[in-house]
Amino acid sequence: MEQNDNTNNENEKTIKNDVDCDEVIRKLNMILDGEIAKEEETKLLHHIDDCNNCLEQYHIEKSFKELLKSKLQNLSVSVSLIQSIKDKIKGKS
Amino acid sequence: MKDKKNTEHKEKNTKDILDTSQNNNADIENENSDSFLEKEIKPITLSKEEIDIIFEKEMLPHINALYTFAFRLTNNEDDANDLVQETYLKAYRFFASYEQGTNAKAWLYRILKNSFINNYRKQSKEPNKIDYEEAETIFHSEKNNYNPTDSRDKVFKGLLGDEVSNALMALPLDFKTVIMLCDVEGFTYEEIAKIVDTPIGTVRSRLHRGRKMLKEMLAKYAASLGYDVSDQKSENQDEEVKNSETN
Ligand SMILES: [Zn+2]
Repeated sequence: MEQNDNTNNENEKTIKNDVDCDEVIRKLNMILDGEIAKEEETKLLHHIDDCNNCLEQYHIEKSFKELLKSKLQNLSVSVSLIQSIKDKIKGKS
Repeated sequence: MKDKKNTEHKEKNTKDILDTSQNNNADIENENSDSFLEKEIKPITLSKEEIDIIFEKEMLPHINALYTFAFRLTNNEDDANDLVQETYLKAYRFFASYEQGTNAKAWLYRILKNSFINNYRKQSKEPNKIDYEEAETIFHSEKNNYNPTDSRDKVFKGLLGDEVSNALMALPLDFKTVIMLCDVEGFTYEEIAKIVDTPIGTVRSRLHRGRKMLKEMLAKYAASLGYDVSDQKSENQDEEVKNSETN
């Protein structure tokens, strides 16, 4: 996400006024889940960049999602299960 | 390594399941969980060799992810193995209802999820079931113990894997499922809606409530370890969820 520089000050204001904190907080999870359309997402992320409170909430939600993924993924089946499935399938006509 | 007895037992189970479905299609129709496999069947022009190749290339690579999901649903290695095997044998048997080039992984997850529901409906028991209302009451009554302070994004970082998976296990099935599908597997809301057969609004609200319950359980644990626990802003999200449920 890129920060608007001074030449875009006007623009930045418009964007910021477009979105309020309530809306951002409401949509935080959808942002993190990648469920917000690109254009709206850009607006919301601009707000988050400029707003300490939203940024903090954003990081909390983000690290929670990452925690779940890292702790719950990647179990492995035994080789014998794979073999058993393959054998059964071979036997079918 | 599994002992031999277990494996034999498993094979017998799966065989029974397959036999039932082959001999009694009416039963499958009645148990609507699997009926999508029957309905979506299309004429197939591939040879067994070709099917086997596609099956190995497109279906089998998802086996570890499926096992992870199965284990989170059953909380038991043997049951998870059975469920994965049953899923693959059904997928093979109903290969004609798989539309090639579409999301094989989502299709397999749908079969696994429905098989799991069928199996425990038959046994009329759900492992680790906690009534949602009950769960929510417990979590809310415990919430008062936290000190709302400045939030830190590192709050959850120190949690052990076991605590996270135990907390997940304690969630009611509907919530556990969407969290696995979204946060662990990265399916889109649309894909999840298809896998669990609900509207997208329901997926969204289950995700929201499930995460909230998980967070509260884990925050309590974190607090017991001396972490700073924040009172997170979620009231607005609750409103959103109410709205989305009516969609
Ligand atoms: Zn804000």
